[in-house]
Amino acid sequence: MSSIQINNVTKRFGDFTAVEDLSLDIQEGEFVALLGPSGCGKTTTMNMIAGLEDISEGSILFDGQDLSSTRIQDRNIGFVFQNYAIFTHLSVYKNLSYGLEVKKIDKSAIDSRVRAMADRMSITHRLDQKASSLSVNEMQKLAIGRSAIVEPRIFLLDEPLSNLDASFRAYMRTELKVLQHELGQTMIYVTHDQIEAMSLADKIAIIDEGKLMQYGSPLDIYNSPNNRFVAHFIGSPRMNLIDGELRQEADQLKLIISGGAEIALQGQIKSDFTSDGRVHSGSFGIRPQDIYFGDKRSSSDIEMKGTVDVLERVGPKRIAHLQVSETSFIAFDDQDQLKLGDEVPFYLASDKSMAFDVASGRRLGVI
Amino acid sequence: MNSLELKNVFKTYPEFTLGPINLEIKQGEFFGIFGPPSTGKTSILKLILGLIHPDEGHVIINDQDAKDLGVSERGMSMVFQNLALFPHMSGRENIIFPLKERGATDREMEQQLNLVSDVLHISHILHKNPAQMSGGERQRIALGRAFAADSRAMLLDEPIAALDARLREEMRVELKRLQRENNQTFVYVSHDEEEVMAVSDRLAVVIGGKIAQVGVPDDVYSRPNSIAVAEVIGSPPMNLFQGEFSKKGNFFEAENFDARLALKGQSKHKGSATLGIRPEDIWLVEDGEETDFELSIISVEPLGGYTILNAYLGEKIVKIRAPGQVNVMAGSKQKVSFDPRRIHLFDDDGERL
Amino acid sequence: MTDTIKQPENSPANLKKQGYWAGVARDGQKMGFWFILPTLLLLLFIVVFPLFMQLYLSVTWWTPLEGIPWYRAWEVFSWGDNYVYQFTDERVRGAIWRTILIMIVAVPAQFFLGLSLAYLFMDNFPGRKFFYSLMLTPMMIVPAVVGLMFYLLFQGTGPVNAHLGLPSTFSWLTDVNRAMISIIIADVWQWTPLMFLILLAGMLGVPTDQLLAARLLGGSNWQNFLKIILPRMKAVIMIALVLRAVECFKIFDLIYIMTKGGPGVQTETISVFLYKMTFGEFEWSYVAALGLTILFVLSVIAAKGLAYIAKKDV
Repeated sequence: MSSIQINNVTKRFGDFTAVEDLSLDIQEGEFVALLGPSGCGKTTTMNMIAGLEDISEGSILFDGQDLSSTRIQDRNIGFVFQNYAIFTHLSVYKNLSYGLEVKKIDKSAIDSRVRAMADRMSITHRLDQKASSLSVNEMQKLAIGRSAIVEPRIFLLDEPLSNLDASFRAYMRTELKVLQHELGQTMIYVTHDQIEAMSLADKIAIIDEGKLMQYGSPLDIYNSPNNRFVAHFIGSPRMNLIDGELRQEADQLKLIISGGAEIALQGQIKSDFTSDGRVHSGSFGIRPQDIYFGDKRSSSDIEMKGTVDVLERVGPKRIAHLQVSETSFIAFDDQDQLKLGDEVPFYLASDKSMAFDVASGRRLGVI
Repeated sequence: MNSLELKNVFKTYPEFTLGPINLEIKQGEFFGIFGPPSTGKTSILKLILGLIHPDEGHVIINDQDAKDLGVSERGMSMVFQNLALFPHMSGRENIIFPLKERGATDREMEQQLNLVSDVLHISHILHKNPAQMSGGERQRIALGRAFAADSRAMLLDEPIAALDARLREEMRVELKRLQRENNQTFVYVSHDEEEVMAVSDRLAVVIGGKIAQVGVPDDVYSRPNSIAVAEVIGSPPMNLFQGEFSKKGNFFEAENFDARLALKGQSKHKGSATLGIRPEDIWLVEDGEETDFELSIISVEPLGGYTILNAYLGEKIVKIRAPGQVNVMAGSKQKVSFDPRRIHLFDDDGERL
Repeated sequence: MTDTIKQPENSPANLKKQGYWAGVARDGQKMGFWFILPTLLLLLFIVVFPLFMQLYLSVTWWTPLEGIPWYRAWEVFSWGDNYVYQFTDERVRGAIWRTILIMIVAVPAQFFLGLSLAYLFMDNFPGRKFFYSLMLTPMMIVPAVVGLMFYLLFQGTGPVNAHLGLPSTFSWLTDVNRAMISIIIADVWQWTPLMFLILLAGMLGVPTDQLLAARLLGGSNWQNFLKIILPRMKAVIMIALVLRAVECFKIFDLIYIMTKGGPGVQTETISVFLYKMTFGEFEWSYVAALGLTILFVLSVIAAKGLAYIAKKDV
């Protein structure tokens, strides 16, 4: 079980920089998610940790040790591929025993360990069958078991749940979390699904276009995103991010949004936006649960008017998409009262709002 | 007016039998079909399109039996699960292909192309070949091709499954807008329950080759008519407990835990049954208040806007959805309570409430 | 065949009216038959007819020297006499033995050589494309030319002896044992590339991520080769071996040019023997019988090999 330090790692493929100056400190036994959209460099980063890719600049240390000169087969790193890469020509038993066989461990020891792992992953009944005959869900368990059985120093998982159907995915999430605790493994998990990352990880590293956007615990990132990308990416449903031009009119600061509508800024959010004089284009961030209907609750809350454009049922809640000229706000229809086409007033809780600079993406006003 | 109808349709496969399928899809409706994988959802689409023919029953399109209608005469577009893009054509050529086949003018093709590329954000990849595109880009081109054809009805088979989670959430709203603006009939198949519930005007839940329930999402969610439906609708899915009713019918004793639930004289049923309660209908109880149920928390999933707790009640795993952020540690004990009016009761396969 | 003149139900013109998919769904099978028909007719003429002719001749005593045209060969019926004689013919026995000997040595040699080379070519290296083309050249050369090449190389006064420092009296092609060796060397040289080609294709068909997974689990190159690559190549290996074994059995050009089967009949393989019988002694009915026997034996071997491949699904 290792700690990992990623120090200023950069990876270039010719002219293209896939990962730029990435630094992460991962503690022993931590479950860290590398989260980001497709092509952001998260898989490349993981490949560099595994040794499947060379590092262009920087270093990766395992418990302080640099393994870049060690051959891949000697690194003892567990890796679960996105498509599992099960040895389809071998039986389930042989798949599990492979890592032990190549270490020349004696047969009886192998047998007891294989059976224990099969039991743990609930695939004992499949042990003698050909691995190719397994269902996708069982293959996933086999892939994890096969890597876990050799007790690697760290565990790398490349979007392991993306091939599973939605209901099994939820089940495997719980399983994985429990498994990680039991094994006490340091786990690094690549995904593009922020719900997965939030529910599983101790810490999340959000990556966009090869750069680290933010690294912290799920709730820290959710409550205090330090840039616009993170704010937009984390949270279900996603945060509303309304971009516009800041305009000062007398003593009023307004955000002019697409289509000409105005958001009159007041209170904390106003001072956030004015904290940096160079900022002219701002992004107003507010989570759907902080938009409400009915009566105004606080004098600093901002009043808007919009038309109900789309209604979605997501789980137990109804989400309303409110069209304000050319922009859309998403909010919860808690009272289940709205109908398509309704023109309704709504309020933005100003103390829960966040300000971002559009140009740099930086969060404004937070010290 | 019914745009599409399936009357008593059966189709036999080696692994299972699909049917009886009875569906009525209205013109301009966004109709979802949801179910676990490999249970016949795609086959229903193929039957509607005409790629396969029912062994029994009728497919009726605009009040006309479709038996004699060839696939290209039914006025439908389909987005396939494996996309089926023409590999030798660019994105642009793929999209305008159906229009070309129908003899549209250059101007009409440009117009449709622009309309479609704007909505789907694919203008920058139109010149590429499918082999040069990412999975998500290919999926959007396939959608573009189906939309450009501007058919009366669109059949979509997991059309956004290959996209990133975030992009999927945005795309489904776009699809809904597009559908409404063009007033087309959409038949949308997906195994992602949240997706189907979010977009559909009405949906059908297909389990084991049969239709388990049809209705508007609100109804299917709040009144699932069988355990099978209750198990698949809702993330996390409904908590289900098997047990028995007491003789007088106002207490329910579950196998997995020792507590008894006072039902306040609701049920007239006797004997064994299954009780269901949704994770959001269980709430955490402050210290000091009395309640019958104490759970040991296995894990906590903080999702920001809400939190999912996995806990043991006796030996059974219970999932709870708590609003906002909670201060609960894994391994601790928590008291919970629930509203007896929000329970769902099922006999050996149906509901009564 | 008036059917083919009238537009069949599934002609392109008719299909367009019904809609392409409808046509395929209903008549997929029939259309396939029409596509195969020309090739079927060709096969009939080129293969099946001569086969029956051969069968006919093999049960007679007929030779072109008899003076009667071949279709009247029934006048010299011999029933199974030709077939019986095969088994007691010393020369046939010897030829078959020598053929098998060459096959048993040459084919495995080509196989292991081809396998090792293919393994080297699995990963990319600078100049790979160039060396790949180079590797394939020997099998592109006409076998007769290869025969001539090695004939010249193995002359007493030739380059081989010169490089090995052997006197020009050290003969390769006229000594019984050494002639066999030189023939085997020539065959291995010419046909290893084919093994290489087939086996490399098989190797590249092994999914890379499974190989990576094996490596990450701690497997060394050798272990992964034995446990992952080879097992997945079983079908391809069988194809390569059956293909080459059957072809090697029929080896002719190399031998005829290098030694003409000599000294005497010491390097005479079955094909060389048949050739001499046909054009030297005109024993055509005997050759017909022998030919069919060999066809039968080789077909059995090939069928067994194919059955094995058909069962293999990885």
